[in-house]
Amino acid sequence: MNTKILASITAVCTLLAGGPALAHHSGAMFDRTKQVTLTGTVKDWQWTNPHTWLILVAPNDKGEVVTWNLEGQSPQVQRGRGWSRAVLKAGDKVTVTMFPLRDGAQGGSIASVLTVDGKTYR
Amino acid sequence: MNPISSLSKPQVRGRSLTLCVAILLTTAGSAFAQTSPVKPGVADPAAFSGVWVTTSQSMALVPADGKPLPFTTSGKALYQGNVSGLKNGKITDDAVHLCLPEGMPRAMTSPYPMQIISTPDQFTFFHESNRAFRMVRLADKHADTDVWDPSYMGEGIAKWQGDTLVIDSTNFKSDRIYLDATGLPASDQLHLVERIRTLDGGARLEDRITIEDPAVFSRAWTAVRVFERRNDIQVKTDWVCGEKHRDLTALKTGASK
Amino acid sequence: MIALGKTSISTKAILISIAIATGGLSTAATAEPVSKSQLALNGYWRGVVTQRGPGAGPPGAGPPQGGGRPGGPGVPDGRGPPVDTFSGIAAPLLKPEGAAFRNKYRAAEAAGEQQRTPNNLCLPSAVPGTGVPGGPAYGIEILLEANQVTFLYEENRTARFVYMGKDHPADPGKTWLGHSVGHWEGETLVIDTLGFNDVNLLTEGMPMSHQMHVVQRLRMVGDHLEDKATFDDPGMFTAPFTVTYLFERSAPFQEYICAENNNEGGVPTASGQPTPSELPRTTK
Repeated sequence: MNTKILASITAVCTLLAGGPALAHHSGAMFDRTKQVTLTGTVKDWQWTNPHTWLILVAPNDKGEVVTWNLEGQSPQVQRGRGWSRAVLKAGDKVTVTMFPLRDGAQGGSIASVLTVDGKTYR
Repeated sequence: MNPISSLSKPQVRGRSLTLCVAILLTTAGSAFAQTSPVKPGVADPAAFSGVWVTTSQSMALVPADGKPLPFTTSGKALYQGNVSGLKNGKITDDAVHLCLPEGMPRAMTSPYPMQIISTPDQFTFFHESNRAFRMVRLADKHADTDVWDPSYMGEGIAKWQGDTLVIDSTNFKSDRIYLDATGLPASDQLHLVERIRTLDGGARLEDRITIEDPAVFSRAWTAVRVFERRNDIQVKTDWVCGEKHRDLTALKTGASK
Repeated sequence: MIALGKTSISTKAILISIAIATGGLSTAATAEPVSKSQLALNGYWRGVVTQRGPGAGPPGAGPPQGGGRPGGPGVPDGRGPPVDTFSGIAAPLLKPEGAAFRNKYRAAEAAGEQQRTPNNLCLPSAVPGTGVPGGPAYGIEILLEANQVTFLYEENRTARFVYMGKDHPADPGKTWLGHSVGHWEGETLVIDTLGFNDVNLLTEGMPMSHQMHVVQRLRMVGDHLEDKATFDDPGMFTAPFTVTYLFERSAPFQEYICAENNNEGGVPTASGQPTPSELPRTTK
């Protein structure tokens, strides 16, 4: 049997916001070429694994006020970016940028959140 | 099967490959205050180490003094709501349906085996049921709750009192656990103190669990769980929801591994 | 030198290297107490990036052409997409069936079709499991006792028991985690794992078969923990390959319960975990 032998290699590494390797899931369902901005009210903030979830009541592009399911990374990954479970609570008025779901459903992957106290979390 | 005994020798040939790894972000700061190590008492920490199976026939936690559960009025209503909801299906038991951790103290009532692992400054309790575990540090102070989130097992710190390991647990994910399989409720004020020691020269282990939760109970009360050492069995760590698990009858008779 | 937070590491001392492992294994006859120097491996660890290399260049340019040397001073950060720890190494070694599975997986993901995998269904990972460099910032804990070494994994809160001074049983079965035995060679912890099922994946999109056999050699290198893992799976790969991981000491990790809110893209799953029959099979 021929054995393919590999020499030592140079490592190529990048730092990417969102979508790291070996994540819970790859995030393929989000369109990362687009960013959508939503301004609305927090209905629920779920500080859970495998993903945190921001359930946001905000208008869609037709002006209808609807519920959005916005996915964050796990609490541990979010912690590394300066988040905590105390960052959001029901009733907060926030502005969110997100990568939308490819299938057009009312959801996406959170890129940033501007909170009531004027701080931006990514 | 034998381990790898020989592999062909390498022939190095240059080849370029990409390997990309991301910088890992470490958590900001530590939730744990620096404490000096607590000196053990006369007990041998290794005596707790091993596989333990409950000797109890019941999964219900009851006061060891034989008195009724000291519910507050709202605690009693919560409990009755849980019991009827679990019975008629209006409430689901996540530990059963999603195999989420039973949490503490319920994990101590499981008929499946548990393993205690003893290392310097830490005791680890691994429960075969739902493959849940908790790490208990030998420490004086709880973690900072601004950084350390509520959990199913609570955050436990331990110290020795003679031959007894005393574990103090707080910061539970109380809205997702019951104290036991009957549906005893927990609030975010739940506070456990366990006193754990071996009996009969190490053949048995006793956990005296004191439960304090002013939202549910008018006073603290203590349940006792006893375990027997089972060197004949190996705890499985790969519990998967919906897959077949060990035969509990065989476990009792010693017929299963 | 590479500065990683407060720690500096000589780039000569740390490499991610690909080599074919040689040599045999002996099984220890008895499980001796853990020595003070061996106890250095005990505790919490997080994976560490050990080197950076040239960028990937514009899209469509193909994989970066490395010179085979580790990154050194002045080597710029990479700018390409993330590649998991195995893909650059193992992909060329995959047998046709495995390569077909992997290509199909990657094509589907590129087309925006989320693939169901054991990891995102909260099932236990194989070796090396979660917590290796290249993924998010999840940790592991290693617990050393005389007759057992325990690995606790943060992501998907899983434990692996390594039975010290023992041989594998004649029939280790087919399990998600495999069966692990270990022994010490001086201050190097050697772990031998086999008996995986044929449904688990080595990592996202990287198949493995029941014949996967992993030998890990763990030891301290200065303040760091090194894990040299050799993967030998004649059912899926044409040759064994070795990956070296590096870890630094870390703070305790929190309780990550995968199934507590396992919604994929906003669509709640019926339960946190499916039955294995729902998963893609990598072998016939």
